[in-house]
Amino acid sequence: MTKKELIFRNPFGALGIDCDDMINGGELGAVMARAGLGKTSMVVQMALHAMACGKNVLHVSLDEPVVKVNVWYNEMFTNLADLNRVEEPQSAYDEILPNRMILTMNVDGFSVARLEERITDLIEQGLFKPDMMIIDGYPFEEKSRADMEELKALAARTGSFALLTVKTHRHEAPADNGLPVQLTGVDDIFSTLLQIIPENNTIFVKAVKGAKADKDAAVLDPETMIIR
Amino acid sequence: MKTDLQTVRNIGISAHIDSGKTTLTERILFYTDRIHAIHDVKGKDGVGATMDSMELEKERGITIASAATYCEWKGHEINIIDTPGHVDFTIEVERSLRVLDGAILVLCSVSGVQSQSITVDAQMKRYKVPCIAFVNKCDRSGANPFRVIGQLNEKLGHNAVAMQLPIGLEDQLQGVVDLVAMKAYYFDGDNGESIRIEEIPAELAEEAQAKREELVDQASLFSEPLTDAILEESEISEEMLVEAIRIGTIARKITPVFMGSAYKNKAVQPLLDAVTRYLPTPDDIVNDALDLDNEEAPVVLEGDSEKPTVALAFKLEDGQYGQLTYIRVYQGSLKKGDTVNNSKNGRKIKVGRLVRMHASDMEDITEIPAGYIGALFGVDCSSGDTFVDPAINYSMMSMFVPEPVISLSIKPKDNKAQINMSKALNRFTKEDPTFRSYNDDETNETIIEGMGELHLEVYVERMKREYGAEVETGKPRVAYRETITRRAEFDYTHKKQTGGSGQFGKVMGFIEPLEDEQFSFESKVVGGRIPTQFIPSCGKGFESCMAKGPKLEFPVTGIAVTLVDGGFHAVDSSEMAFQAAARGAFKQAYERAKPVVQEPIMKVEIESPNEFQGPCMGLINQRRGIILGSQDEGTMSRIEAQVPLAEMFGFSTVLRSSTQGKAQYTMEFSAYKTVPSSVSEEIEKRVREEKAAK
Repeated sequence: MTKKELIFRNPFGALGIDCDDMINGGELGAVMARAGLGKTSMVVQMALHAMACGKNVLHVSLDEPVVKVNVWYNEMFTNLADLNRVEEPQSAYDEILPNRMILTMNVDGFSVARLEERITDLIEQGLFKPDMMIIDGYPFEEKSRADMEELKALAARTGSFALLTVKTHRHEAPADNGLPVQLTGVDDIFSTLLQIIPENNTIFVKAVKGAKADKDAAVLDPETMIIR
Repeated sequence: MKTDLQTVRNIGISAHIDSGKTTLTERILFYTDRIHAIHDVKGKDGVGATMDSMELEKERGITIASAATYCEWKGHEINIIDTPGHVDFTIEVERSLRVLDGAILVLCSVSGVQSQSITVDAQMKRYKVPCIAFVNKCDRSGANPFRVIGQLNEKLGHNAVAMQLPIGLEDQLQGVVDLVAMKAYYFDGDNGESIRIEEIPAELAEEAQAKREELVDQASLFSEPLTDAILEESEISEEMLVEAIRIGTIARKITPVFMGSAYKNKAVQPLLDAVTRYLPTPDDIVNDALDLDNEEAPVVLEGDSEKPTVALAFKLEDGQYGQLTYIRVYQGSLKKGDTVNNSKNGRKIKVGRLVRMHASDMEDITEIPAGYIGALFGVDCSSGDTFVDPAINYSMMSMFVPEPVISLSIKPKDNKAQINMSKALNRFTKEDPTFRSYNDDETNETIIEGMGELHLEVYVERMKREYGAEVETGKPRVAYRETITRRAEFDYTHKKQTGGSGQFGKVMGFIEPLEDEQFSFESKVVGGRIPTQFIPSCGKGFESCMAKGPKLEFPVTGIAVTLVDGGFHAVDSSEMAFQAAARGAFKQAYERAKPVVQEPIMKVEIESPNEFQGPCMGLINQRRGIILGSQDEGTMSRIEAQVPLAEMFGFSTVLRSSTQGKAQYTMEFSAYKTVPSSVSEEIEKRVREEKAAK
């Protein structure tokens, strides 16, 4: 079993995100959607893709325990492996698993400084150097622009790409620029913005900002949440 | 003897190690007048808490074996099964859970929901045991019962609601506010035995009102009269609220949380009230048995004393008068002089002396009706056996017993030890299905097998203390396994025609990997190419190869054999010949089927202060472990990892020394996984050396 076999057909080409691009350092990206549309499965998919490319992914979850995050990965991998007909999926999974580290923090105690402390610890101990960071459940409402800039600086310092999830709410009207209110005042810090939108029984993923902004849209399979 | 099931509670007290479970049990026994003085687990008076009947537990301050104890509280009979707190003894925990109707989940108000609490909770979920929670140690500095309630909801997915409010915390803890009665309770006297009920202190009135509303709100989901009362804004009676919470608790939809400090004798009595109020009676719980005459179809048991008897032996103990068997009766009743069958082996058993236990004292009784727990004398059986009326053939659910993952050779130090050792082994293997022992014919050593290093250590220690058998132990060995990874064909002829009668057998077919099963054999031979009477011999021949793999002589698992074709000789073919042919064929195909060695992988959880998180992860990394992640919990963090058992020997010492003793870990078998090739070569080398040494 080689890792090559594992690199799934790049699901993000249509969205202007390339395996190498998205991992090149210091950028911020975000996946925006209402609750339940598949933000986490989307970022987990991207993480698995990066892991298969041999990149280290640090998954920071602010509201789910390690076990649960692990289940997300297991399920997503099983689905992806089925779809891509990976032979001996278990050994393939075992092979890429060391490329992942899950860090869960309590959302109340979360601060960029704290995150940095942990990452520095991991790097200094020679345990793990992230190429990509996923921050699931970042509390946009409570954090300021300064925090976001700090996060970007952290991504730049560690040479990683940070991907955040943004939970939007049905009752909140988007801001004037069409983006969710959570991003007001910080949207310019992001280099890539993806939005998951349901339209007539189909779930689309659109790049709102980035290389392929406003061009094509990818479609999510509502059953497996995999990009078709 | 009372037989009103409405007043019977069979409960367990489960908790993380060190959250004060044994102390709590001790206090309960004191308030119910079963004991007349209070001792502590690590007491200086040398007596120790009553439930910890084993010396070893006294010394280590942990509870290993579960004793069943009976007590009475306000006209209710409560049977308490003291469950062990260490994860290595989970089979004991699970067996206890089987016989419980409800449980008290004890949590420490400072450390909250710990890894062990999660394991225990998962077990309770599996056996659907309704529970109430008790937040203990509210007198400790850093106590925060509401944080623990939050953790119950977040980490364990409970719907926990506070039933009480502490009056003062840490060293200021004075008592609790009961949110149902809306009264303040204080506990006076040397041992907190006199309860003083007063109005709620003014400074807590507002908070109490708010928490009560929360409670009423949650409870209203389970009771229509209560919902109506809320809507009509009429008065909510205490009974109404209690009934609603009771329904919710039994359905495992709500977890009432009580708080206090067992050590400081605060608020244990209200917890006992809660046991009688909210935990189910044996009638509230549906128990299933398997009908062995009907392909193990599940049968619902009824708590009717007139129905045929069904009882489960859930624990054995060696008393001074021989074997004591703890049983729970599920249906019918067990009377002195009755004859019942042991459904495992069909043996008849005459019920002799029946007793009711209080840790190590006992009380004679004549009958154990359905729903009750008691003990039998002079019966030879293993734990987990079911006793039934001769008219039926039921078995209580066959509990899943994991295969042992570690073994240790033991050698008695002298002759006396030899005899005592075999006595002890006989007892332990009966008590604990995860503990096994056998004699290795090749080395003539006695080997014991179990679920972890500590598991075996405790038994070696018990051998010494309880049976006076001193043994020398070898190095612990991991139970490796062999299996194949792909399909391979065989075509083998066994032929021998030198003198005497000849032997001839020819088998053709293939072997392939089999998931979740040890071995399967299927014959697709048609047209009598192999006469039918020889086919079972082929199966036997193949199966005999499973015990010792051709690669490294580890047991082989997960192989499906399909026999497709073959040949025979009218005179020379025999059962022997076909068995030999099968063995030869197995070896032939095995080599081609890419055999691999598998090792047990353990799920390891380390709880450590944040500053030591890095070193802890480093330790995992050095041990071929995969770190799944780490969870930040304020000042502590929890690291979850998967580590091969072979690398975990002596881990506790290393962990202690690199974290100043501040980190602790739990370990549980997770799965068998293929050994990486570099390690597999090492194992191969070691096996060869050992063989040469023999």
